[in-house]
Amino acid sequence: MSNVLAVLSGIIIAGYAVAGLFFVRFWRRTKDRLFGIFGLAFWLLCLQRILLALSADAAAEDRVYLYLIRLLAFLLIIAGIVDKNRDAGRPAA
Amino acid sequence: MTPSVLSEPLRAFIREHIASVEQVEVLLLLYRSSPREWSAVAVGRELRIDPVSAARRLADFRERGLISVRPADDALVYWYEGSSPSNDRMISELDREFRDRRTTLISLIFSTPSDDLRAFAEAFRLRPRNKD
Amino acid sequence: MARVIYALCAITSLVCTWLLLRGYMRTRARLLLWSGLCFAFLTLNNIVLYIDLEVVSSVDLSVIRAVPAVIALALLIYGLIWETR
Repeated sequence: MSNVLAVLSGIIIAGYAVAGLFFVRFWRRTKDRLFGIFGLAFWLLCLQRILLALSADAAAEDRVYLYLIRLLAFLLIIAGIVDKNRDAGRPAA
Repeated sequence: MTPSVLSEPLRAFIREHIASVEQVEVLLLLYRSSPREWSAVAVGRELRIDPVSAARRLADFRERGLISVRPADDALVYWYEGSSPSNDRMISELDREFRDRRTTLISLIFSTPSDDLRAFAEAFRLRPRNKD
Repeated sequence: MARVIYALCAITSLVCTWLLLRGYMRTRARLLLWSGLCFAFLTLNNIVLYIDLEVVSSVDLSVIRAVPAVIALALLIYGLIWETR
């Protein structure tokens, strides 16, 4: 892995981790599930990024599995949006 | 001696709809004078707040389905009419607590998350909230 | 199969971008601006990812892919730190 890519990956990993941490904090404050979901999603993206960097020398085909983690993160976000819209009319969970 | 804890439904209502004392005053003004109609300027004059701020509060409550609106002359006028039994109950309780346990109520409001987070969460509603 | 995954990721981040920027138009809450831009760049990141893995096999776009992601997260963290109480 090139040095540039390693540095950028490190920044991205740290970025996802910190953003996730903020969302979890907001979830505790607001008790709104949406923030918890975003926190979880961002931490999954962080995990995926870590695994991606660690497996940088592996064949591209093998790493498709890592993108399933990414998919899971985005599915979580979709679930969060759906959940938010089903809650209409009731106080935030 | 009654405990200084507000009911859970009221807390939930405040968490959901109220982020400032000014909002409570605007809402209660319309509620107590129901069904009298108010423009943003009139509300501003009555409560001695900036009419632009009043307009924003009124529009926000309208979007939450708590008050009604209609166009009149060159401004919008708002009024309170019973939008739903549960909202009526909550606002009447809010009114009572604002009179009897104002300090407790205000500290609850200040401990509620900021408009920013509320706006973030609300952004993910595909359609703005409708009246019950 | 892989294409579906990448497409879904791109579409989801695009939807988030739209919802957040629309919310910003309505409320002027600046947190929504930064998070909306974050998802815009994540969408870009997802699109380049798709191109990298499905379209262009000769060149490795890893570094080019990473840049939008870095920008996305920088914008988001800026917003999270400065625009919330």
